[in-house]
Amino acid sequence: MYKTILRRFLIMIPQLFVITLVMFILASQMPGDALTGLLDPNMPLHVIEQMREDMGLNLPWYEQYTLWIAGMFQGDFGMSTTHRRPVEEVIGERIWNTFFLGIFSLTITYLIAMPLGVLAGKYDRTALDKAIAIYIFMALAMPTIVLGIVLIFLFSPIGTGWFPLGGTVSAIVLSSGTPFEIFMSRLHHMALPAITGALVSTIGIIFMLRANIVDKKASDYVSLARSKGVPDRVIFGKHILRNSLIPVASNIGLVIAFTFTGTVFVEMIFNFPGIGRLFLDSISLRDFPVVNVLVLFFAFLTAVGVLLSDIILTIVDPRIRIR
Amino acid sequence: MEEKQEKALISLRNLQVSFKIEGQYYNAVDGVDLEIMPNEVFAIVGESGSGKTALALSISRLHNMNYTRISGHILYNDENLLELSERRLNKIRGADISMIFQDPLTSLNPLIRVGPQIEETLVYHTNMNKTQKKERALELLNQVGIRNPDVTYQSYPHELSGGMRQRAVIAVALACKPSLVIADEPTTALDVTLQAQILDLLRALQREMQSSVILITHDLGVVAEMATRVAVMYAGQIVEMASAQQLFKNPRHPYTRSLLASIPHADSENDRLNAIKGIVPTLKYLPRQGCRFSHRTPWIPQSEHEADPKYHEVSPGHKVMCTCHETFRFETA
Ligand SMILES: Nc1ncnc2c1ncn2[C@@H]1O[C@H](COP(=O)(O)OP(=O)(O)O)[C@@H](O)[C@H]1O
Ligand code: SF4
Ligand SMILES: [Mg+2]
Repeated sequence: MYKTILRRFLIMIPQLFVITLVMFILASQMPGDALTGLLDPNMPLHVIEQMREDMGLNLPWYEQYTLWIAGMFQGDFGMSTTHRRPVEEVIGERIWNTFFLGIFSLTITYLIAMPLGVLAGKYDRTALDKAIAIYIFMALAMPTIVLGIVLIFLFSPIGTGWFPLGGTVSAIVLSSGTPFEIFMSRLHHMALPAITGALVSTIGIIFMLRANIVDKKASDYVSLARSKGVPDRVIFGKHILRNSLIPVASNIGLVIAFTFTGTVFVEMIFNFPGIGRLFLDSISLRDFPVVNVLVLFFAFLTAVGVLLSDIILTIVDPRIRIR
Repeated sequence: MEEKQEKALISLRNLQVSFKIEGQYYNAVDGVDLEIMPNEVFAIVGESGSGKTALALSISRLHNMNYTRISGHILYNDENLLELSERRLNKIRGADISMIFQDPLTSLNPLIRVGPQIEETLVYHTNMNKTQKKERALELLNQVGIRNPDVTYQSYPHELSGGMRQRAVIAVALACKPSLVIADEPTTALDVTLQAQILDLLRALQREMQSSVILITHDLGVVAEMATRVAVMYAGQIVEMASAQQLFKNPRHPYTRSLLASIPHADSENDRLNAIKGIVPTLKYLPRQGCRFSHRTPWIPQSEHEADPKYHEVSPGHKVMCTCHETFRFETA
């Protein structure tokens, strides 16, 4: 098992290489660079050209790439062109915001999806099941952006004002509150973005759980268990639910990856200072040193999510061994 | 009611089982009367779709009752099982009546080791402690002919072959020495050599334990080998019922005769011609009036059938649901 995991990590390295390569090629094809639009229009052309030369922007992409990779291996992530500070600093300031937002969003996802999936499956073909189906269709029909805007209009200071908009913690609480108050203030600030990010993820989980439960309920081994005289409530927990949770459990890794990459949109909608918004800002400002590292990070996260799924599957399902 | 020498173990009276399809209930079992005697192997034969499984599952009410209706009487120990609460029925399921299903590959929970799945029956019907249960499970595995019970006990179902799994399922069924075992095509999913082994095992265990077995099959060869009595089922009804001997010697219903004609070792040219073509209509399209078999014997003029076929006694213990059972003739080529 440990060997397998190690091997899977090693396989990741060439995968990540390919991703960074593709990213560099794409970036080199984009119009404009870090200096476009940032400079004083009165600055003499030869000065700008000198700056380009100094920043290495005039090198062909493959040379830039080689330099970048070489730097990465030496722990040098590069300099943000907009912030004029090391990339790791710029990202480090925001990554925890995204991390907590992601965790919160995941928690909400499963808090909504698990009970709904179980109920829909347990009471399939009843009114309750149909009500849950309506929830699913509404969630499906509502893109993240639209949901985010709706929530902002309803609950942010624009609407009822129940939840703050922008920022991660209120300044007053931060300066004078107890750690618990600070924590609650953070949750308060993250609530709307977290819900927005969670809604899409719940759909797949509910669907999967419901379908599995319905399928298992009609399975031969459930009939056999019933024919043994096992009470229904025991059968539901031991034979139906447990078996139906396997695909859900093994899907967690993917949902994690999906949630974190999904924060890009959520952070943009809610003006939330995390790495998702940093990513979009950096793209529009052509701050490629930051973009590159973030792409690498998101790719790594996705790969780890897939691996995590496989690991969970081998733990919970005796039929599966990862290779 | 006539006095019987021996009291039936279980009696089905006018049993009806219907399934909800698109909001309407359709009968898959339509007025079945049966008595299973102690210590007998009672076979139910019929093509796929004739309602054998629907009948089998109704006995201990294993259907999903959200879209199944069962009516009539299932008398066991002077109680109508259909009127028992789930709780009371659970005392009977597994202890008195147990089941063996068709597909050994799907009959066991893939996430639970074989041993505990056998013990699960003991949990709900005995006061055995952990070691006693394990002992009993190992004993059962041994009894069903598994050579390394300790290994099998610890195995997950996917680690066993189909034959081994069916043996394990039989061990589950026999755990509490039930008085009735309902085996729904227990060998259909297995290859031929395994079929014989599993049937031999079933028969040996039945003799040893003196239980009754309802053996559902569409293989008349199996019936000839094992059964004391046979019911032939078609479209939810029992169209002929007799002792196994009688049925093979003197089949009366055209459907029975057709089934007999289609078994491989019926070697005469004539017999082969007598296999009646067609299949059982699906539930929704079953004819609900007149003889349900008439559409497969179109060469018999309508005037020769009863509007509503009733049972005719051919000889004591041999009844047939066909008006013209004495005059019936096969289509001539
Ligand atoms: N759960 C169900 N819902 C609807 N129709 C069913 C269900 N189970 C069986 N049927 C139908 O009832 C008829 C009898 O099926 P079954 O008892 O499985 O036949 P057999 O076991 O003899 O092959 C078939 O037409 C089948 O399609
Ligand atoms: S009653 Fe008529 S239609 Fe029915 S089985 Fe007999 S011969 Fe066929
Ligand atoms: Mg069947």
